[in-house]
Amino acid sequence: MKNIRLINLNYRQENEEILQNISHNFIPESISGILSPVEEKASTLLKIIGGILEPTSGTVTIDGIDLFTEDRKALKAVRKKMAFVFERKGILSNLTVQENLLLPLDYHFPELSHQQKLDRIVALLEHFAMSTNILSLRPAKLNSQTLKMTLLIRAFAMEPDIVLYDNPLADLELHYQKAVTSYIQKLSRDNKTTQIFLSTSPTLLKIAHEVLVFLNGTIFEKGLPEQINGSTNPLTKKIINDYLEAGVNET
Amino acid sequence: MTKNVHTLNKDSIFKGRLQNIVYFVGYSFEVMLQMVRFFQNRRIGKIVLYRQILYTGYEALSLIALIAFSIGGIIILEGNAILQGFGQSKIFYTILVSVVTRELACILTAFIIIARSGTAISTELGNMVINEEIDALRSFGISPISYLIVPRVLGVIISMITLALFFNAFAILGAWLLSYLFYSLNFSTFFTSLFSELTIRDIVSGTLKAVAFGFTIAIISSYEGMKVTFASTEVPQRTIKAVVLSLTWIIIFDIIITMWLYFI
Repeated sequence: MKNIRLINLNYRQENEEILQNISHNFIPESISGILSPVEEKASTLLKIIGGILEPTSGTVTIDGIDLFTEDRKALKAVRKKMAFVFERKGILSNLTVQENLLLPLDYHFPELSHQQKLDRIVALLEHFAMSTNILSLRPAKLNSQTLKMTLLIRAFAMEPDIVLYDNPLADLELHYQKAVTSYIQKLSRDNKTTQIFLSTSPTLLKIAHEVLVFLNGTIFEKGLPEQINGSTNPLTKKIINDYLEAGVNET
Repeated sequence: MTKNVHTLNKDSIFKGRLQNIVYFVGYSFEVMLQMVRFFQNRRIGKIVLYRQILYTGYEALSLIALIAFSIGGIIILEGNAILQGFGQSKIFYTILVSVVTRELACILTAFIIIARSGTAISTELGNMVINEEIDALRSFGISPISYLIVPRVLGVIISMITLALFFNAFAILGAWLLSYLFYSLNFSTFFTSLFSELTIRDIVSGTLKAVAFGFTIAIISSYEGMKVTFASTEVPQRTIKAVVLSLTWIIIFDIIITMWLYFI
C-alpha cells in the first residue's frame, strides 16, 4: 500500500481557488518533498492527500482505492497504514500524552495488548532520547519541541506504509532535526515507506527523491532535488533563494 | 440597482439559512445513525461517554438537589397558604405533581444542563476545530461524530433523565419536609396522597421530555461547536447561539409534548 495518485485535484474555499487541477503520481517507497512559499496553502494539498479534507473535485487514490468514495472497511485498512504529522496542532488537549499516543493504536490495532502498544511508544521515546515522564502530562504542559516530537512519535508508532509530514522539523533543535531526518531516511531505506513532506528545510530537501514546487495553487515544477536547485525558472529560483540560500530553516 | 442588490442579499441570506437547515438535519440523522453503531462498537468512545456523564450528571447533582429541594418546599408553603383560604388544601398534591413532575423538573434541569454542559460542549468542540484536533481524528480514520459527538449526546441524555429523576425526588422530599415542619403532615399521609395523584402519563411525559431535551441540547451545542471554522473569536459567538437555540427549542418541544399528552 504505497502508490499515491492525485487526479485533477481542485479545492475552493470561500471563492478562493486553493488548488487548481493538480495531478501527480508520487514515486512509491520514496521521499517526496513539497517546496512552497509560506503564503501558499500547500498544507491543504497535504491534508487532501491524507483524506482529512475533501477536494471540491478530483480524486486521491492509494493503491487504486479512492479516499473519498470507498466504503468504510476499505478506508479503515488504508488509514491503518497511513500517518499524518501536523505542523504544531493536532493533539487532543483533554487527553494525556500517553492517551494521545495510544488513541490511533487502540483504534487500528485491537489485536495488540496494552503493554505491546506501550512498548512501541517507549521504544520510540528511547530512540529519540526522550523521557517517559512526558507520558502522564497533558499537551498544554509540553514545550513546542516536545509537542512536535509527540506528533512525530504518534505517527511512527503506527509503523505506517505512508507518512505525510507538515514541516517535520518545525520547532526542533538541531540534534532533534538530525535524529528525525535520520529516522525518515531509515524508514525509507528499511521499511520502504512512502513519505511526503512539506518543508523548506535544506537538509530534508537533500534527502528527497523528488521535489515538487507548489506555487499559485498548482504543481509549478517538479524534478530531482539537484534539478530543482539548478532550475532556471525565475519563480522557482526566488523560492529557493528565499528559503534555502538565505538559510531560513524551519524554526 | 439598489433594489437588485437588496434582492440578491435576501436571496443569499435565504439560501444560506436553507443550506444551514439542510446541514443540521443531515448532521442530526448522521448522529442518530452513529448512535446505533456506537452500541455495536463502543470501544474507543466509551471513555468520552463516562466523562460526559461525570461532568453533566454527577457534578450537577448538588446544584439540582438544592434547587429542587427549595422549589418543592416553596410550592408547598405558597400553595398551602393560598389554598387553605379556599378550603382546598388537599389539591396541593395535584399542583405538586402537575408543576414539578410534569414541568419544572425537566425544564429547570434542562436550563442547568444548557448553562453547564451545553456551553462546555460548544466551546470545547469549537476549540478542537481550531486546534486541528478534529483533523487529527480524521487522519486516524476515526469519525469525529462517533468519537466526540455520539458519546456527548448519549451522556447528556442519560444525565438529563437521571437529573430529572433526582429533581423530582428532592422536590418531593423538600415538599414533605416543609409540610411536616409547618403542618405536621406525617410521611405516609403525604406520600399516599401524592402517589394517588401521580399517573403513568406523568411519568411518560417526564421521561419523554428528558430524552427530547437532552438530545436537543447536545445536538444543537455540538453542531454549533463544529461549525467554528478558523478563528477563536467564533467560539463565544457559536456558544451564545447554541444557548439561545437550545432554550428556544426546549420551550417549543415542551409545549408540543404537553399538548400531545394532556390535551389531544
